Amino acid sequence: MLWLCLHFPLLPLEVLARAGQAGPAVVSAESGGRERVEVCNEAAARLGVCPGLRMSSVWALAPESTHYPRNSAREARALTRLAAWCGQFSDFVSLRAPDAVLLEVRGSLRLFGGLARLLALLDGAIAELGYTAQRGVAPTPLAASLLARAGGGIASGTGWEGQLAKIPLDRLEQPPAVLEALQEMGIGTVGACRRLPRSGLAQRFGPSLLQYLDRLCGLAAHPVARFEAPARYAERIALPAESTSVQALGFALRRLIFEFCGILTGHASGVQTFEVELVHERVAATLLGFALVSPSRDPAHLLMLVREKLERTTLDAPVVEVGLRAGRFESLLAASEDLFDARGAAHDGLFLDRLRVRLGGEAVGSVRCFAEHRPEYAWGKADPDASRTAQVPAYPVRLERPLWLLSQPLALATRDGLPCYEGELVLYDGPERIESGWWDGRDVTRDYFLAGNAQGASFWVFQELRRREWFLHGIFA
Amino acid sequence: MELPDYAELHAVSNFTFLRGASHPEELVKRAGALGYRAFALTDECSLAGIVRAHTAARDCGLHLIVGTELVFEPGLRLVLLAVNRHGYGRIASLITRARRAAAKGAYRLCREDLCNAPGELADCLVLWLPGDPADVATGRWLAQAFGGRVWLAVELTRDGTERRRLAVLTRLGGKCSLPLVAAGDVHMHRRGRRAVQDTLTAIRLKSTVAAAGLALHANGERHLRARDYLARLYPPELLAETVRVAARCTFSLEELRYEYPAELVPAGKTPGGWLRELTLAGARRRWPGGVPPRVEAQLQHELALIGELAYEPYFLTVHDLVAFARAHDILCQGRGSAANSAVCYCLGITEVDPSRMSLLFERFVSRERNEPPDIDVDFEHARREEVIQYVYRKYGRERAALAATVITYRLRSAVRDTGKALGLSLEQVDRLAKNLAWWDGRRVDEERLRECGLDPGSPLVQRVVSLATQLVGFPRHLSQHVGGFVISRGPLSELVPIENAAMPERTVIQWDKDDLDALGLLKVDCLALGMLNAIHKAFDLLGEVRGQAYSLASIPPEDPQVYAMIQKADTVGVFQIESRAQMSMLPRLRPENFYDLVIEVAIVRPGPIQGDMVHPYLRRRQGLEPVDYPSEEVREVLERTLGVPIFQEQVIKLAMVAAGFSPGEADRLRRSMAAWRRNGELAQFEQRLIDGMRRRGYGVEFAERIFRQIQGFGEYGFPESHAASFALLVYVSAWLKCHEPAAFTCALLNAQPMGFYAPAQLVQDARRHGVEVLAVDVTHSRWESSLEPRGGAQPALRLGLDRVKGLSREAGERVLRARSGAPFRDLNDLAARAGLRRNDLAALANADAFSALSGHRHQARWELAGVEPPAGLLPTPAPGGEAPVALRLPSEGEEVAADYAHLGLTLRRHPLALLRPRFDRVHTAAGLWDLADGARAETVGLVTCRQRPGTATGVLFLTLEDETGVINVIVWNRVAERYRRAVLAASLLGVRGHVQREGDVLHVVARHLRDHTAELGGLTAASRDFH
Repeated sequence: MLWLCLHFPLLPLEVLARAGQAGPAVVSAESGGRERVEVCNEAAARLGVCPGLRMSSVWALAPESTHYPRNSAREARALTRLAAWCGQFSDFVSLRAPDAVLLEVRGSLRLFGGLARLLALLDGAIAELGYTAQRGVAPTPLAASLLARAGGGIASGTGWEGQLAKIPLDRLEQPPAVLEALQEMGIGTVGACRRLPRSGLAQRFGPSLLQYLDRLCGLAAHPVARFEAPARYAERIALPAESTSVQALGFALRRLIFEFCGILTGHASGVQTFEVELVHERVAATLLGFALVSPSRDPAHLLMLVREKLERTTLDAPVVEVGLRAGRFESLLAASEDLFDARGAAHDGLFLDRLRVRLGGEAVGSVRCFAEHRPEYAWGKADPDASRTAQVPAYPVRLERPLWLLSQPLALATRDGLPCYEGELVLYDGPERIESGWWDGRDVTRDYFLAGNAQGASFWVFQELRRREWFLHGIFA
Repeated sequence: MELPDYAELHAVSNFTFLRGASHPEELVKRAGALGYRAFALTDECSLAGIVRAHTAARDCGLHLIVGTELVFEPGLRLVLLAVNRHGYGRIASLITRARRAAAKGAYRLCREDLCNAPGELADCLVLWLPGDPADVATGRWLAQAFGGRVWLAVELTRDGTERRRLAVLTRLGGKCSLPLVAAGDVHMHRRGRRAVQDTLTAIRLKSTVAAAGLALHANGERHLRARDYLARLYPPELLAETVRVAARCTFSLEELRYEYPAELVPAGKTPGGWLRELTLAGARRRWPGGVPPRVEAQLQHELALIGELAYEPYFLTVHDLVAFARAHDILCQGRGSAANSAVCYCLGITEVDPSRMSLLFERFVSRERNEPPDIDVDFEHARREEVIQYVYRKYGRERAALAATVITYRLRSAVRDTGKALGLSLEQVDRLAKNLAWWDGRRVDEERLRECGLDPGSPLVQRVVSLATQLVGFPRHLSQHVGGFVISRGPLSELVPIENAAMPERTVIQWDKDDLDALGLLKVDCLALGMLNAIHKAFDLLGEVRGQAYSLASIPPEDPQVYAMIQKADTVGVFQIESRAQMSMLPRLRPENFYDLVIEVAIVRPGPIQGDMVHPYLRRRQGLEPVDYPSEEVREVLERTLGVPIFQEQVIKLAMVAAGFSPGEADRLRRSMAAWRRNGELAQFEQRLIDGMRRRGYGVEFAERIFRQIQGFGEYGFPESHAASFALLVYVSAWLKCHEPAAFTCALLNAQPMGFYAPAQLVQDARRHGVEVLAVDVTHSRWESSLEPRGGAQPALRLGLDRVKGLSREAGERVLRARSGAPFRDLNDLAARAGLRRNDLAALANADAFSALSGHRHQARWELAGVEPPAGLLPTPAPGGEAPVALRLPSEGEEVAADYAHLGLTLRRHPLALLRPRFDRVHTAAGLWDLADGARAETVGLVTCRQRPGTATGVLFLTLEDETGVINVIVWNRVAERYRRAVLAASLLGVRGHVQREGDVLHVVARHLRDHTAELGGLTAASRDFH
């Protein structure tokens, strides 16, 4: 057996910044009551940021940093996808959570033309996906993992245990307390640790350390669970900046499709229907559905299809995230790779899809009340689902208000200082003074009155207090 | 139209936290300017702002009514107004009851509190603020309970329903037979505070202004409105009624009289007689051979003056505290204007011997200055709580409470809260607030905004900045004063409301020390001083080693060796004069006697530095500049400080003799000095002072300098009387350092944390002075550091187990108890007999405290890991059979790093000595002294201290340390900005720049900094944090 371990040291950052990250970036999580750095990129490290640092210090050292809170669920999903993707290189893949994947590669060496070529292939492909991996190769899973965590290396052949012995002890996958205790006894390497008497070690650290060391060196068997990849795919990539240009989406889409097709290959499958999702800031996401005439897993083809469709799509709002989803894989075991003759059919689907998107749910909305003093902001359009559950605010005592509000207040002419609308108006109640809204730059200072004209119609009018001008704002039925 | 008379009867200030949007002073001034007949400040369940309002009202001649707004339950919201002193006392008591029944910041009242109260509230007027719809039953009940003293408040705020509401309330008034009165529900002094008020509401609701919605007021009507405007809004009779209500409230805070506790004087004696008795008894104790005639005369003079001003009970109160401390062996010392009197020396309140300090005696409490006596007593830090508990015990919680400290918004907290209220993301707010560490306090710098990724030009950012600036200085909550007690004869809650403090079992009154000062109420300050702790410990240690008793009084005065040491700035650990600023002054000032120390303590302060007094004084002292006086009167005031005003008292005296201020005016000037940054009151004195001086023939330049000095003193001024008491502690600690360095360092270590220097620097300094320091050792150390006699002149200093990080005191005591039985055989024996938990053992092993039992650290840790945890009470037999394992010897670098990590200091070589091969081309601390002034220098050292003193703007002091000594670095702001990261974060710092030498003072002025911290990691195989 020969084991290859891929360790992804920057996974927490990369899952959040897959679309490329210029400048310093950090991922933080709470530890000991403080927000601390978990992972940072090279640019941040150059400014003195390192794991364990408090976020407040990050702002002092590298104030221009992009900051992400850690998202472990997302990391777990990414690792699962990576394991599925590795299926194209090995029959036996195992997850080593939270941040590594193990592949048994003895069987793959011939297929890929030797270890060196396999590793070169892997390196290029992983970079293409937007991840950074350190890889270790060794006869036992734990040794491969240890090498990967220690920065990467290959230990094979007769001297492999000697290579292992030089590795610093703090890389061992053992509880931090154990590692710290060993270091404090002056034991700095795997070799030094193995030279200690077994009974003494067992007495001090229990049986698990010995078992680990035995498995590490192949003295004890180490069963590893095989990873079964699910036959579905869903992933979103956040763009570094919101964008309306189709070109800017290309990079992220390419990564998604490349990963997706790798997983399909590992699964010996293709895809027939999938969805591209363009996520916007405040409005519902734009969904682009794709239906192929027959299953495929060719990244170039899929990418071309998506590009074509995107170019015909008008984006109403800037895109902040791009996603790709497929709920079903189709077996491709016997299929040949030349299935993409049927562009026409794809175009039909494309057309229908666009139509659906245009007439979709966005056109339907409802009205709800907001707790606001400014009348024009006290109601607004809302998602029908949301408004069903929203509560009507408890209004304070105030002047009566009309149901019919003008969308824009209408400036009124005045005669002798009094407003006119279809004749002179008589102010019969008020004023209700509204002074509110300074915080968004649309401060209003108005006195509202109930007014009537000679025809017996009732109006809701206000005088703007700064310029003393009159406006009609509502009409009573 | 003739303007109607009006009195505002319902107004809250910003002491109704997060509701009121104006300072009490602003409200009062505005009400006065609008020609209101009276103004009632009715903060919600609080009188915390009333003294400020009172002072402002006195100045503008407005009738101020004392009141409070209280919510008893929904629909039962009342304003209570004090008719007279008795009514005031009842309101204060009711607030006290409500506040004491709830957690800090809250209050609890219910209808029952009121049901029981009508009789009690006989001298209060009541305004009912009815809900909507109003409850008729409540109205009837109020009318019946408070017949003739209760009104229905009509508050019209332009919601468009005034006419309807007026009709409804008139009907309600008729049904309940309640008269109607107009009120304004005032939250701010001007309409323009609307945005601030909305922001406060959002902060209170922990929301944003945009989301706060209808919780905000619909408009800005809740301000002090002009009378013609009110006339259009209210029927005339409702406005007229306000004046009638106001006329019934005749109470003024002027009527409050402080009454001293009665139990200070034994039955049958008068306060005056008893004070005289105690004083004369003290004098006989101080001068067993007979009181010198000069002192005798002084005593008579002082006692007469105290009697005349009726201050005897105050001195007796302080004496009582000091006597308690003496009886319980708690070191203490008084300071303050009255403290440096012969009476206080005789009463044992101070130790500053008048025969040593003749100069000070003139400035005892004076009739003309009309200021209340001021005595602060410093107690040993660790034991002050005993004194506080004694006060509570003796007078009871009803009669003694701590003064409040009003915590106000600072720029940083203001930016944080307004940023959140305006919807900035938490991350932006956090960044902005963090960056404020580098801001100058009041102004927001555009550059910093950009650094936080915020556009200074964006309207949102401008709103945050503008609102935050307005919010600065707003009170946020009441905290407890560090130790200012108010003690009264009757229940204190009749004088001022008392509320719960954050600390359990602590209560504070609603007034701060300026409020007490403004009303002439006396407080006794019980402060905590770490140095008294250290001195006491040093005395105890010396008592053991030298076999004689030491006290503040027994330290030989005016020892030339002590002054020689001080002149060399060899003052690490010495009280007050150990800071960088002080150390750089000592070799120039060259103190030769006690009074020089008094000056030294006072001169290196922001006040004198801002007022440009330091250099003139130095030049005159060094004879480089002639000493001259613009007049004979000025000579009298300034002669002892060579014509340069250094003490607060001198500045006040100058205002009197040179600018013709009356004693009353001078007293107001003194109060304004303390508060000028808060309210800018000082400006009104500027012209008067300068004109006054010019009329008396002084030059404009001289006058302006004096005013600048007054401004500088404002916040930081040091009265001579305080400086004198501090100087005594300076002298005593310097004497200890000079003659008993081992005991002194030991005491400082045992009194940590205190002072400028960490244990590592204190120990380094002691070793440089030849003190033998011994390592922590489980077979020798006590819990605290201790002295071990060694035959030589100085005992050795043995570090205590308390130096070991992570070792609990209880575990340490267990080790000592086990050791007192029999010496430890080995590590297993110790673990078993002391019954230590594993983490305590690990802490000791890490600290290398087992070296006597098991060799080096690696070995100790291996052995320790093999020790079975004790099961029950039975000692576990040692696992004797285990084969010995030879572990690698730790390298020196590893040991040094581990020492720092687990002890905070090392007795091995300095880390720089180990790293020297890598830094062999730069100057060492000692090597710098070979360089001439102005020479280029490059050096490197461990950063031991970063100081940005308030005394010197635009400069940062760094103290570095290497194996040869300390290096003082000056970093100007420009350079600090460029190397911000290194300045903030480096543990090991490289500095390039030039040497600045002046006599015995050497600084390196930095031009270039470099963070070498990573090199420290090279000391060990695995990198480790050094500090």
